Amino acid sequence: MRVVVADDSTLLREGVVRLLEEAGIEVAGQAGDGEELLRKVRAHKPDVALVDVRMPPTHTDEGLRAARQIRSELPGIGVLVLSQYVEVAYARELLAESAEGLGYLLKDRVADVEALTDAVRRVGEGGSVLDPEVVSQMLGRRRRDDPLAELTPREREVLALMAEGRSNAAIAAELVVTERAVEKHVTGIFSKLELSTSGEDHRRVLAVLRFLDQDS
Amino acid sequence: MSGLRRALVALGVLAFLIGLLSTALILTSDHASPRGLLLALVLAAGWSFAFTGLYAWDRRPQNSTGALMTATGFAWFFQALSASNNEWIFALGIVGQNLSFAILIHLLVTFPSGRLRTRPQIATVALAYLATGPLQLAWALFVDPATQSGCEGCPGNPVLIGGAEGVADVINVFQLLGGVTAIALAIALLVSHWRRSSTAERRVLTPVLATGGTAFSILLVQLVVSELVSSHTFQAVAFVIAVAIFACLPFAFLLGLLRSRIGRAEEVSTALTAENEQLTAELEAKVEELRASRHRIVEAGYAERRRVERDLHDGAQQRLMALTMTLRLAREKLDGDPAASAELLDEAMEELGSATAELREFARGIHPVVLSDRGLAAALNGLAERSPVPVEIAAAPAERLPMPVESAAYFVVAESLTNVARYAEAGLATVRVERRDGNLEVEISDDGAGGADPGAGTGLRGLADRIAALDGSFDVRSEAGEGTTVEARIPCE
Repeated sequence: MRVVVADDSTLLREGVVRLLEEAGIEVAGQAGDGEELLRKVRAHKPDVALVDVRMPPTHTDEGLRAARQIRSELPGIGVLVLSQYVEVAYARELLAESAEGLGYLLKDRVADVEALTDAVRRVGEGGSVLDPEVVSQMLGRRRRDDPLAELTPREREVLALMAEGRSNAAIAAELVVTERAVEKHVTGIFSKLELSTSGEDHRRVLAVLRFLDQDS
Repeated sequence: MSGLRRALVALGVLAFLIGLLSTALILTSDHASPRGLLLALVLAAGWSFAFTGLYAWDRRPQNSTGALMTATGFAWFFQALSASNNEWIFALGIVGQNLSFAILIHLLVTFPSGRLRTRPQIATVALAYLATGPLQLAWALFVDPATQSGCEGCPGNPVLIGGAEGVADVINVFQLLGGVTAIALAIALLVSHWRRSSTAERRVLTPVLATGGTAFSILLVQLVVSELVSSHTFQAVAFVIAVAIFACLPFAFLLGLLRSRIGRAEEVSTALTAENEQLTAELEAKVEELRASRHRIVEAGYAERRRVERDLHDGAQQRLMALTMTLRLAREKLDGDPAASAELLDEAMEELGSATAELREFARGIHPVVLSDRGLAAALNGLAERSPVPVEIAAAPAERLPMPVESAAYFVVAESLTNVARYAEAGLATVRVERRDGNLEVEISDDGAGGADPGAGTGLRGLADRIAALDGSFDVRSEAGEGTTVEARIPCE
């Protein structure tokens, strides 16, 4: 697995690079702004680009724009966006077309090496990663006539993990249940929320997020 | 016809009818004398004050001079009521007969702005109202008109508490002292106003201040002398002269107005001066408001910095200190007790995670990044998502607006939703932000308990200042049991 890391803070970038290399992930290049990131990605064709949202020159959303550029220009490359804040609005933008090979994580997560390397691997393999905080914001939103009220607590947990982009196997491991049990919960959730089941994990993420995002 | 003009016409008709009623009361009176003179004075002063007042009111609705003139006219008609043979109408007339003098003092000392601004002005006017209002009423409760000179044939006093003549006399002394002081103060204020005015301003002030000042001077002399010399003839003559000049006053006001309308160059400058005088007065009041709100904004800025300092100190700084100590402990235990060291390191990482999360929330409270990056609609959605009370965003502008407007609208919604969650016990809050007629209209309503007091918290006060700084308007409606609606209108072309 090869990655390019883009962050304007050298301190943070070096830290992330060190963590990734220790976990056996090859860092092919580093960038300090959006332009440099695009050059490095075009040159190295990594599996994943790790992108900070705020970078020079405007320090607003360069990372997001670069991420979109990479996705349209080089669709095979996974993009993992890191941000000081996670906002549902940004997640919505990033996921507008597809959740394939896309991740959106709170920057704090880099401190957890396992979570970081797991996210990089999943995105590199075409999966999706959505920060638990985004998911909990979406799930936590109070609605009138809340359809989520019909879910059991266990089903809510499963729904949250699905929205984060986890596979059934990963959900089973996390909740310490069998995969068969997870499948049963997933079917239950989809029928209660009147969603059509779809096989691949990243499509499933989109279906779940679209559902959570409606009535906004 | 505008609502105001309709109301003014109605008041004019009312003044006319009251005049007719007064005529009937005076002409059929058993005790008023001489009737002809009294009738002439009542109608001349009452009608002229009321009609010129309504005219001035119509021309300058923002300025209370017109309203005060109108009120003087209406109060003047109390004089006619005391001519009535009916004891109740008579008593009403006795109670109200001096009120118009107090309103006139109010009018004169505030001319031409119509605003009470300085302490001496407020004290003078308050004293005048005290003497002619509450004290007059108290006096009326104790006075038996039959014992008063010049009131032979007056009806009895139906509200008489007891024939305690002594009490009435004592009240009368206080009234007299209050009245004389108020008039003397008013004259002093008029003189000082005159001396501070420019030549051009004086042209407008002259007719009003001269007539008013003379009328009150004579009234003052009459009040003082009548106590020393009990000559009814002198008292009556002085009173008639004062009232005759009093009746001329509204024409002096009218003259001031006319002077400011004639088209000749010199007169135009006078007219401009008059308008200027009024505009300046209004402007000064506005400047005073602005100064106060700017002061509050600066204060709020300092308060905000203190809050930031305290939050950083109590939050992040303390956590980092604790973290340093935990790490130091872990370092010491590294060799002797690796297990304990690992535990301490885990603890440190957890502590660090909380500190980071806390800092993030803190920074979001200072400035929401999504607002500057993606605009109001996205930021409002974020607020709705984090609100513990269900929030429906009924409308939000999709386009970007000037940053100060977006920011003000955002904080109005944020603060209001915080209040809804804290106090309203609401089941649903509705947010509506729309552009209409060159404004951004922001409305947050809930179906909760209502009864919020906009003056109570600093939050709403701060919002009002923030909006005022953008020349917008801010309003809170919160009837108990009917939910709360916060409305802000921010200019936004």
